Amino acid sequence: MNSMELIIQKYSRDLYAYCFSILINREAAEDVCQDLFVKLLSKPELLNSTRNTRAWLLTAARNRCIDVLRSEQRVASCDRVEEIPAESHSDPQLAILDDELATAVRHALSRLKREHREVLVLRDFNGMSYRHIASHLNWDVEKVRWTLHQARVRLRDFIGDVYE
Amino acid sequence: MSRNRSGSARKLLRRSGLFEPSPGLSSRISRSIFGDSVEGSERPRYKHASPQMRLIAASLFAAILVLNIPGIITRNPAPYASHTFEQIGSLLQETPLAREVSDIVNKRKRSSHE
Repeated sequence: MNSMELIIQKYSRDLYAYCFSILINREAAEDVCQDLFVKLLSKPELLNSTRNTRAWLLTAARNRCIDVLRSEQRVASCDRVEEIPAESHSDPQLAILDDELATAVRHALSRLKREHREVLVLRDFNGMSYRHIASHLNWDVEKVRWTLHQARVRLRDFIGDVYE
Repeated sequence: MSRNRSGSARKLLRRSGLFEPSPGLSSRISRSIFGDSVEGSERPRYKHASPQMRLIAASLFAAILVLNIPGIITRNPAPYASHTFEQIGSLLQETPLAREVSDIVNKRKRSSHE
């Protein structure tokens, strides 16, 4: 396995989650990931200027996703949120619950502001520190804390107490 | 509050499965970059390039190394030579070779101005 494959394996999950948080579209998010890695392979020297591959990838992903949003004028609204098949379960009851949960989360996410979704995913899914999120978004740490707090409150409000 | 809320947000995001890429994403990316044919060890770095681009790149390298074209261009610039290199340069935009090609073209332009 070469270094590029290692990078793909190591970062594709976080990168995909972040792209999905911006685009709310599985196919578009995967396309952005693929484009980024192909670009990186074409110009590996892009990584020479940074010591933090993850930071470089996330910044490039953000820019690319925003380009996609602008060019396609994709609107993350409830009506346009795609249907994503739920994870398969041997227990049909669990499958139904997870399907309902996925639908509820998807609709809640689509109602959140983009910056709320970004911060939520960077912190609660990718596990980044406040300091790294602040640096990535070019915010101060307090803004990250406050935005994350608002995002969690709203996510919970939008979903309701069904899944507590 | 925040501990509960962060815990439940984390659980919701993970359990929803929305943020997990398709199982085949990594391999799809690898395939798009490296192709299917080579397994295991170090793979060719520019396997995704079209056969035409690879042929041009190989020809360019051969020309630079064997015929010392940069020297020839510097000493005796010919219009067609510049045109060819610029064409090649634009074809190779997506590879690190582009820098080398552009250096050659710039060098040639500088020498023709002088």
